[in-house]
Amino acid sequence: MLKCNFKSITTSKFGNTADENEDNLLTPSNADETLLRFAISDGATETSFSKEWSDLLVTYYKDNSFEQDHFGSTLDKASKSWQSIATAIELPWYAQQKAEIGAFAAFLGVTINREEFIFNSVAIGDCTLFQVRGNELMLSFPMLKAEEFGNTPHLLSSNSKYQNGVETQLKYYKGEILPDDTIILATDAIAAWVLKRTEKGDKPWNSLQCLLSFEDYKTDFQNWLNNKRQESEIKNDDVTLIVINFQ
Amino acid sequence: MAYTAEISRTNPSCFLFVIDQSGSMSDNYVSVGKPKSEALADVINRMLQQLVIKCAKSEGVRDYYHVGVLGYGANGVKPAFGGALSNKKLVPISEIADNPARIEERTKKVSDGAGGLVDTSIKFPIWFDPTASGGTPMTEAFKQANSIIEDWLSSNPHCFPPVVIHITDGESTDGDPTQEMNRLTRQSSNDGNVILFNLHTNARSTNAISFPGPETTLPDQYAEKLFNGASSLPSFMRNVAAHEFGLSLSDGAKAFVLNGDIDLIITAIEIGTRPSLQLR
Repeated sequence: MLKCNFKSITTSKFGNTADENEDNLLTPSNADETLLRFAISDGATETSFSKEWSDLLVTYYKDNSFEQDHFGSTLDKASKSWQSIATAIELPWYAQQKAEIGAFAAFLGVTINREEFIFNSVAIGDCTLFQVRGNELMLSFPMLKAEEFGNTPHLLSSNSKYQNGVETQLKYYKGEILPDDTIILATDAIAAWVLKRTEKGDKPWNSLQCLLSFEDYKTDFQNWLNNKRQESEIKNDDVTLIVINFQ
Repeated sequence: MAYTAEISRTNPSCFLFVIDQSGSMSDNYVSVGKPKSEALADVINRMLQQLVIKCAKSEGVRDYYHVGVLGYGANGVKPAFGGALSNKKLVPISEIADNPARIEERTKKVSDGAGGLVDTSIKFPIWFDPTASGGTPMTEAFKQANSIIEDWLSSNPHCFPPVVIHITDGESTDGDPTQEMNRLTRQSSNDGNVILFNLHTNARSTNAISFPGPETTLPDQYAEKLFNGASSLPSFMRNVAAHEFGLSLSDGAKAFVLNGDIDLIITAIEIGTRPSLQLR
C-alpha cells in the first residue's frame, strides 16, 4: 500500500486578518484509510459569504460525489446549505442585495487510492494540482501556463441562476502515483508562481518542500510568502497549499 | 506603471462627482421623458448603490472607496448628499451604505422564468436628490473639486488615482474653468494623475460625440474647453470600454462626451468607475 504524508497551510492576503481568509482546505483526518480525500477552494473576494461557500465545497467533497452524473445534486445540497447560512441573520439592505447575487469559488479536489496507486482529481477555476516525479514536473492540472492566471476562470456559484452547464465546466483527471512522487495542491497566487518559476527553468517545488519541512513551518512559510509578495513575485492574495509526499 | 495600485482598505481610492444643477437641467430628456436632473439623480443613486454592494461583505462594507458628490447651481457649489451626510465632501463607502437619506420602494421588471416579465418591488436607496435652478458656476465647482482632491491626495499619496466625473448640460457662467480643470488633471498620486471625465449631456442628444481622439472637430469653443480639460482614457479604461461595451477606442481617446443622452452618460460613468479590477 502506498504510504503518504502531507502538510498544509492556508493564510490570508497581507493586510487582512486570518478571519478574512476566504480559502478553505480539506485534508484526511486519518492517513491510514485506503481512500484519502484532499481539497482546496478559493472564495471570490468580490462576493459575500465566499468563505462559507468555499468551506461548504471542501466539506461536501469529503462525503459526496463530484462525478459529472451526480454533481448537480451535490451542488444543489451545498447551495441550500449556503442559502441557510446567508439568510440566518437579518442583514442590512446592501448585504442582503449582495447575498442575493450568491457566492463564487474555485475548487480542486483529489482522491487518492493508496491500494491502486491512482488519483482522481476534479477542478473548476484556477486552483491547480502539480505532480512531481524525479524532480521534474509531470503534470499541471487544470492550469497549464502562468499566463492563464490573468483570465477570468469559471467558478462554482451558490446561486442556481449561475449553475447552468456547470457539469461541463468541471475538469477531471485520473493519474497514477509512484512511490517518491509528490502532489501539490495550490490556490491561484502560489500556483501562478510555481508555473512562472518552472517556465524559467527553476524547480520551485523544492523551495516549497524545504519550507514545509521545518518544525515551525507555518511561520517560515508566512515570512517567505510576505517577502515574495513584497518583491511582486507572488500576488497579494489568500494562499492555500497542500503538499503530499508518497513512499 | 501608472494605474496599477491595489485598492484596499489600507490604500483606498476615491470618486468625486461634480454635477451641474443649473436651471436648464430641469429640461426633459426626450428619450426617457424625465428631467435631466431627475434622470441623473437616479443614475448617481444607482451607481452609489452598486458601489456599496460591490464593497459589501457578509460582515459589513469594506472601505475600498471614498465618494463625494458636489453640486453647482443657484446655491453656489455645495456637497450634494442629503440626510445624515449633508455637507460632507468625501465619505467612506461604509458610511454611505449606512446613511441613505431614505430608502424608496420602486418597481422593476424582472424575468418570470417563462420568457415574460413581471413587476417586482426593489429597495432603492436615495442619497442625492435632484435640483435644477440658477446659473452654472462651473469654475468655482472645479476650484472646490481641486481642494477636495488635494486634501485626499495629501492623506493618500499612494492611492489608485482619484476619478472625477463632471456632468453638465451648459456653459460656465462664472468664467473660464480651463485653468482649474488643468490644475485638477495635473494632481497625482504615486500611481498616476487624476482622471477627469467631462460629460456634456443634452435633452435631445443631437450630434452626440463620445470618447473622441485628438483629431476630432468640435462644434464650438465651449465644447473644445471641455474636451481639452478632460483626461485621456488610460488603457485599462479603454479595455473596460472594449470588453463591457464593445467600444473600440483609440490610444488618445478622451474621457469626454458631447450632447450625450442618459444612456451614453451611464456608459461613461460605468467606464469611469471600474477601477475595481485592482480591488482586493
